[in-house]
This record gives sequence, C-alpha cells and structure tokens, in this order.
Amino acid sequence: MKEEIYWNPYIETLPREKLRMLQLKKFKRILKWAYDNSPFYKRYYSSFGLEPEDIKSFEDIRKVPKIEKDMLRDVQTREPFPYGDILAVPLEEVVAFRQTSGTTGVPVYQGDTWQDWEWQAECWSYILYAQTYRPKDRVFFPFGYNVFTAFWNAHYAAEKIGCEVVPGGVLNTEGRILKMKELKCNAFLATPTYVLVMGETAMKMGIDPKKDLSIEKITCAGEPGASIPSTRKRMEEMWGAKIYDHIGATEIGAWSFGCPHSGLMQHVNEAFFLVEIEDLETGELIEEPNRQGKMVITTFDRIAKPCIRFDSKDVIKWADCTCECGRTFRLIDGGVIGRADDITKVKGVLLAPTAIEDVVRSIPELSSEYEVVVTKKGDMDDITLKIEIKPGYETKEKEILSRLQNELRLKTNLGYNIEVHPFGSLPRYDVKAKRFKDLRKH
Amino acid sequence: MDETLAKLSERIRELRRLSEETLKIGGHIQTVNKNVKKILANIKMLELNVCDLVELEEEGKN
Repeated sequence: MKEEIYWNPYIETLPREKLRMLQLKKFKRILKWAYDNSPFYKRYYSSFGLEPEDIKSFEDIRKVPKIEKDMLRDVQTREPFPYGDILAVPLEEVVAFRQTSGTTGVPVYQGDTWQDWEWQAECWSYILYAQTYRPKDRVFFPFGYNVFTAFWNAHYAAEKIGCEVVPGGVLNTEGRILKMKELKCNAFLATPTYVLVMGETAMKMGIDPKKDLSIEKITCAGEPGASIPSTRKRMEEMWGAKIYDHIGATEIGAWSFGCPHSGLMQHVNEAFFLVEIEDLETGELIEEPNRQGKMVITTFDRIAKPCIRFDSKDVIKWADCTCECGRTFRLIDGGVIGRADDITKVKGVLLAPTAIEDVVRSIPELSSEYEVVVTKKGDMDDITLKIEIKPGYETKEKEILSRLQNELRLKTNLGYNIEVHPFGSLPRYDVKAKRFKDLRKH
Repeated sequence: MDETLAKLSERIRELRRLSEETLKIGGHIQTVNKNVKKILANIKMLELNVCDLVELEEEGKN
C-alpha cells in the first residue's frame, strides 16, 4: 500500500462497492441527526411525509427532497439568530462563524461546532496531503483572514499536517510578495485570479516569480480557473510551479481535489461527501461520464448545520477514467464547468463562461483580465467581450482580434463585439471575480 | 477484517470512554471541560477515519 501518498490509505483505496456502503451508512446517520435535531429539517421532511427510516437503500436517497440556497437564506430570519432553526446543536456549541461571499445574493451564515471545525481541517488535510504538502513545506496564505471561509481551514490543515504556516492576512499584494521572498516560502494558496494578479504585481516590482521566488506548488480554490487549460498554463508558466485545484463551498465543505496524477480532473472525497449529478432539464440522475449536469451534494459529518442533498447549481461531469494515484474516489472532469444560473442561452446557443475564459487566456498577447456582458438589442441577444492587449503588442491588434474571433466562434459557436480596453483598466479581483454579466435578466 | 484497523478501532473506543469519564469527573473545571471537548472532537475524526470502516465490516457480517 502506497501509504506515503495518502492521508488515509484505507479510506482512499476502499473498493467502490464498500465505498457505496459507507456512503449509505453515513447518509442515513446524518439524515437521522438532522431530523431529530434541526427543526427546519424535521418540518421540511415532514411536509413530504418522509421519515429517516424510509431510507433503506442507496436508490432511496433520491426520495429525500433537495434543499436550495434560498431556503438557507429564508431560514435565517428565524431564531436562533443569526442561523435560524436549521441549527442542529444548541447555539452555545457554535464556536465559529463564517459566511458565503454573497456573490449570488444575501450571504448565508455558517455556524460550526468545534467538532465541525476539526472536520473541515480534516477534509482539507486529505486535499493538501494528496497535493504533496508535507512538514518540510513553508506555506504562505495570502488572503484576508475575515468572515469569509476562504482558506481558513486550509490554514489549519496545513498546520495539522505539520507544515510551517505563514499567514499573509493584512499585508497588501506587494507586502505579501516580499514576505514570500524573504521567507523562501515554497507553496501558497489563492484564487486563480489572485495567483495571476500576484504574478503580474511581482513583475511590476521587478521580481520574476519563476526565478526570484521559491514557489514549487500552488493550490487554487474559489473559481474554476485551475481546471481551465489556458488559465492553468498561464499560472504554471508565470510561477514555474505545479498548480493544483480544489473545489469547496462555505455551506458544504472542501469536497474535491486534484492530485499530482489527475491533471485537469479532480477526485471527489466520497467518504465525506455524496455527489449526485442531475440532468439540467429533466433532473434525471447522471451516472455516465462526459455528460454535464447539476451537482446535488450531501455533507456526511457536519453536525451544526447539516447540508443534505443541497442543490449547488454547480455544473460538473464525471470523468471516464480512474486515476494512476490508486485512489478509488471518482473523478470529475474539468472542475466546475459553470453555474446552472450562468450557463445560459445566448442567441439560442448554450454558453458556459468558462469556455470564453479558456479562449482569452490561450492568446498570449492578451492580459488575463476580461469581462463578458450580455444585453438585448431589440429582440436580439447581444454579447460583448472586453479584453486588454498586453503592452508591446498594440500594433498587432488587428491580427490578435481576428485570432480571438475565430477561436471564440470555434469554441462557443457565437460572434462577439470585441472591446479593447487599455492594459490594467479592467477590474482586478482579490477574491471571487465577477466577469460574466447577463443584463438581460434585469 | 484488517487486523490493524480492528486494533485501532478498539483503542479509539477506549480513548472515547476515557475522555467521557474524565469529563464526568472534572467537567465542572473549565480547563478540563474545554480541553477534553477538543480531544473528543479529534477522537471523532479518528472514528470517521477508522471506526466507521470497522463498523461497516461488522454490519456486513450480521
């Protein structure tokens, strides 16, 4: 058994059949816990006439009604403040408050017990250990340590593994780069957008991230970029480092991760989460690879605010292969391909914003920033792509734009109005970027 | 069943028993109360990682 590459060799190589049995056992356990301890869940399930004992087989799981983010927001208007009666433990047992970023509306508040907090670090330990984090590593955390979940639990997981952890909280980007240089940090964690912003800033400071810093690996989260080929390539080339991806969410936890062998695919931690993929239109369960659908996810072991069959709206697809690493956890291909809310029809064509990002960032003369705006002109959809040309390439604008239009047409089947903006003028983001604006809905 | 897992699971159950007993005896003392609760949270992680697998095997036999 290749124990040195696994956080838990028993769980990570469990035969699929046993993994499925474990998932059923844990699903039943959290369902009963929620029904017995969370007034929200009891009320909700009772309204469907469902009791925990009704779930006997794996197939029965689909009888359990899904929850949605709006329900999590609504329940917050009830007592106990600020979480509402979804809470399944006495308020006194909540030791950690965090919240979602609010990108899609009112933030959802997340309360965790000490055990939940430990559990989150445990989930992240699976991720970081798989991504070769070890006690020899000095890991920098360039994020604002505040109410957002972000990398808090990665910080504790890195400590748990035994890494030396350097918190880069209140420093600005320049300060963070100087601190990483001073301490010869060899790893850091950030959103893909911020990885690129840091690299760009370092170069402005006369520091070449590849030559003058010691970064060997970077773990990304918060946005899909590290699973988009051209964005990943940009980061790798800029930093000369191995790029890893991870997907998680505040109300769910850290549910997936790339390993050194998985490329653009990610393992789902199936011992701690149940991931179901549903057809976007029919809701039918998708088991086969390469078919996109919406993720419905269950968190097995988080007790303060259970998350059972949560309709995440993230669009993912199963991969059609297993991983060389030997983990039996199933792989998803290409990370989160989009949000069910964002994947939208423009001029009658289904468009995923990640496809536009892949094209923009595959053209080396363009900066990493872009913005997509969809509007209506009369009855017709109109789509504008704002881009920046890197300094030194302005004279080649016509040729660059022609290449961009062709690639976009090829990858997305759509024509775009292209707007060229001065280099550095489009918004730069530290955390979650909002580059896709569908103004038809407003 | 894997022998190592079985042995580990036994020890982890013993750790829980001892921790809960400690809490009963000294739970009124804040430092005992909070530190043992932290220990119990870590024991829970061991149960998720080890004992669940052993229980699964045991349930499969019954």
